[in-house]
Amino acid sequence: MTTPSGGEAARPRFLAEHFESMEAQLETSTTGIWLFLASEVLFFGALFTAYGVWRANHHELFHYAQHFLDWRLGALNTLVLISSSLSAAWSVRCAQLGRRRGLLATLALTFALAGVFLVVKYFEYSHKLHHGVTWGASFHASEEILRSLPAAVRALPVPEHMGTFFTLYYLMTGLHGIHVLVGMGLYVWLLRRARRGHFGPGYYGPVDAVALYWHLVDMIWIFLFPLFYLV
Amino acid sequence: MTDHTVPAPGHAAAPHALPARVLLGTAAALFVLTAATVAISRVNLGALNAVAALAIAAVKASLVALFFMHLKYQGRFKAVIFTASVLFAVLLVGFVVFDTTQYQPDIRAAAARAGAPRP
Repeated sequence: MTTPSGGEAARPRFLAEHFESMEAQLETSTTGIWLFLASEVLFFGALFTAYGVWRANHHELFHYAQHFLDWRLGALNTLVLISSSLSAAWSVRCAQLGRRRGLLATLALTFALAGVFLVVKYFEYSHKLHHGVTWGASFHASEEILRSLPAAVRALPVPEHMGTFFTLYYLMTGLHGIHVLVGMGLYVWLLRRARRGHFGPGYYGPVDAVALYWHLVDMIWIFLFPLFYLV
Repeated sequence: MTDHTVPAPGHAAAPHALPARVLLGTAAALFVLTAATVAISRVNLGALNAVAALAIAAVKASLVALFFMHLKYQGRFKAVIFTASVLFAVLLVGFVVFDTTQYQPDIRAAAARAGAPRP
């Protein structure tokens, strides 16, 4: 598209120099985000491979160790993350429709729900660490937590390699937790920009990009929850 | 069409926001499927428990991708990028697990001969 002479003033504020139009800019950034998400899938794919190898060879370990995790807290966090994903998707909708109050509310809600997720995770981690439910060779579960297991589980011998199960648990949920933390930072950034009125129907790329990232974080938890807490 | 009748560069056509009922419906389906995966895990199906959990998780992830991430409404190129990454991740997990289970009997036999505990 040719720019009329003296068209510099009409150039949209958030159109980067190297793009011809807002459409081209949005299309490029969205494609870039999807490429990044593809790399994230492969990144977590390596960890799911480690999980698969250990589970295939030591399923008794997984059936036993699962009882150290509270499925109710895992389910609660699943509901929290799904709600935050809904809120993130809604924030994109608000930006596209130019609803500024709705945008601010949903961005803040997404941030808050991410915080709730991490608070629940903090209680889970601290309870485990307190009872010696740790990774690798440092695993030494307290008598108290062993007594709290269901009777049918207590009757079983403690399998070998308990620490390996929890290495996988801490590595995978921890990496996921770091992603949640990064997401919270991104939502603070979006909130600050939304308060300045940066986003609207003509410019909502960053809201969309962060929401896409956030949905992937939700998606990974959708797999982590049943794999560690349920089966 | 002359330049002054088309929108200036940057003034994108009004974006297509997803209808509220699509977003709410997706979230409702995800809540129901979460309840289903918990309920099914309480029933002992043996190895099928893991299969059922993974199948439900795959459906949930697809719903998130199609609607929340509006993959259904975007150009096919993004779907190709994402599907390819998922496909390769599944190939990685699948082939490595096939491989390790292939060699397990040999490893166990060798460990038993050596009198060592199972690795």
